[in-house]
Amino acid sequence: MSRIMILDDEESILKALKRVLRVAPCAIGNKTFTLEVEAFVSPLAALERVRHEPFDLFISDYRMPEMDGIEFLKAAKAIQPDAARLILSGYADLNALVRAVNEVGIDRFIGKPWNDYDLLSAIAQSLAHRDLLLENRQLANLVRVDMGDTTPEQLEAERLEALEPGITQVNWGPDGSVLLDPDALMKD
Amino acid sequence: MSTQGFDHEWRFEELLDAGGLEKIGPVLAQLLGGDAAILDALGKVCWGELTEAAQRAPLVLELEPIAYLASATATPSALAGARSLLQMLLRIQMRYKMASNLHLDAVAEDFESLRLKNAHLQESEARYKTLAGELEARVKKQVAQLEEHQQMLYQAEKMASVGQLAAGVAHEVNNPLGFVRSNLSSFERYLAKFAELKARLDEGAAAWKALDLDFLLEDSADLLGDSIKGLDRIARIVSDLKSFSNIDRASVEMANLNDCLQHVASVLDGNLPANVRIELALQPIPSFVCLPGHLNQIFMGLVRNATQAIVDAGRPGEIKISSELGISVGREGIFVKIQDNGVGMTPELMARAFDPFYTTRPVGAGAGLGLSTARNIVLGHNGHIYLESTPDVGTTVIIFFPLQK
Repeated sequence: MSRIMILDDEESILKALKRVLRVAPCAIGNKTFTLEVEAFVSPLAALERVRHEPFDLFISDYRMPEMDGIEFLKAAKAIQPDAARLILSGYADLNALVRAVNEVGIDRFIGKPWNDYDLLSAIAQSLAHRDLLLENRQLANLVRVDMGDTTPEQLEAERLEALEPGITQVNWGPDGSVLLDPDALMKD
Repeated sequence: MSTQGFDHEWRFEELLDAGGLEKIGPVLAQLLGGDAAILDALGKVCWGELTEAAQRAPLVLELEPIAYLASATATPSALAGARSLLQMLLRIQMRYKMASNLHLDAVAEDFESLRLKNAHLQESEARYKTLAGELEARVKKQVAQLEEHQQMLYQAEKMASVGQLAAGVAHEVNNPLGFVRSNLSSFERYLAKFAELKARLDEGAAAWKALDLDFLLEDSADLLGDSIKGLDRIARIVSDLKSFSNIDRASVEMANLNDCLQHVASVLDGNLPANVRIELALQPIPSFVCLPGHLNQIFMGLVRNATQAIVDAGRPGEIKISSELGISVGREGIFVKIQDNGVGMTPELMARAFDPFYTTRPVGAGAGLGLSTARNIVLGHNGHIYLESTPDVGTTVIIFFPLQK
């Protein structure tokens, strides 16, 4: 099950996308993805959700009132760097495209009106690419453990850190206690 | 001048002219006993008649005698006396002439210096004239250059606004186009499901359930509704664009703007939110040749904007619609003002208010063509439109239509 977030300031677009993603097969080669879709009208609400739930793919409109698609994807990338990113937009000038590629590193730019088949294959490709990257990283880590470059503990710590940034940085007090807020301690 | 100065050797005829001789001659003749003549330095007779026996007495002013007094009848003493008298007279005359010459010299000198000054002035004036000519030519050249730049700037702005228009059209049209197209493909798949039902009719209600047709039926209605709305939106954008570019012109009529404003107010009055009032303050104005259809459309749009501004402000408010005669840029015409006490606009917003497709409303609520269309229509009537606005106080839209002579 791949978790996908779609973001567009227009409800009708979201509904149409949900219809496509609900029934149509999303496949590439011999790989088929089943999709779980969450749709948002507001970039701010979407970003709040990104902070709490992991996603495999973000699809965002470009022109939106609160923040544009590039700003949103940049913020989402900072929180979940492994998720794939697509922009689905009716119009973008060259400037926006350059920013989207250079600053955010989007996988695809899909124009509106879109073709359902193209959209699905773009999603499938992005997801497959992402799976490949993650698998690669995992295999590389296994090799590193075998070669003694790293330890399973360290890998686990990295995994946890990715899951919850800051969790592996513990402030130990002199008496062995854990300091949750060192600033508060300094004030006393 | 120097010949008239102090070194001047006065000649006799310079000191006593013919008129003077006529007066003084007879008097002298009497004094000298009847016969008298006056001769100049060369011995030529100036007055009287020289007799053969006449004695001559020289008249000396400086060194040389300048004339002679001659008489045949006079005694030597009388002749000497008359000579002295005449000599004295000549001296007085000489002094007078010298003084008058001096005065003349002074005046002439003054005149000369004035003439010189005048010449200088004329020269410098000529110089300034040529300088002014050059300056004018340079100014003209620079003005032409400026105008050219302005033209280029205007062109660039026009191109930018065309670009903006293209971007706006692309965004506004592609969005509904996107979901309508996708919805129709989805509907195609839904229909395929229904087609499947045909093959499984003998399974009855179980097949219906297995294919999840309840959902598909419901979603199809929703999907078609959405698509129709989307197409309507595209149609509206196209029609807005058409009036924006004035493709199909409405009919030209003789109309009174007060009728238009009253019409607009009565149409909108029923649809106004509870806390918004319209107040009409219409002065008598003449009818003029215009496109009432287009004008109705822009008045409608402006009053709608005003209503929205008041709703956004979240307080009760009123829209004041007024018309009056006035003069703008030297032309007589009609002012129409639509004033609200809504949210108002910041200067940045005002600067962009007339840009096509610039809107502060959410998607689908406004295409951002209202004010730019309004401006085009007003310009088409040779008028002008401008805004006065203060954030949180309200906005006034002022339109001026000139009356043709």
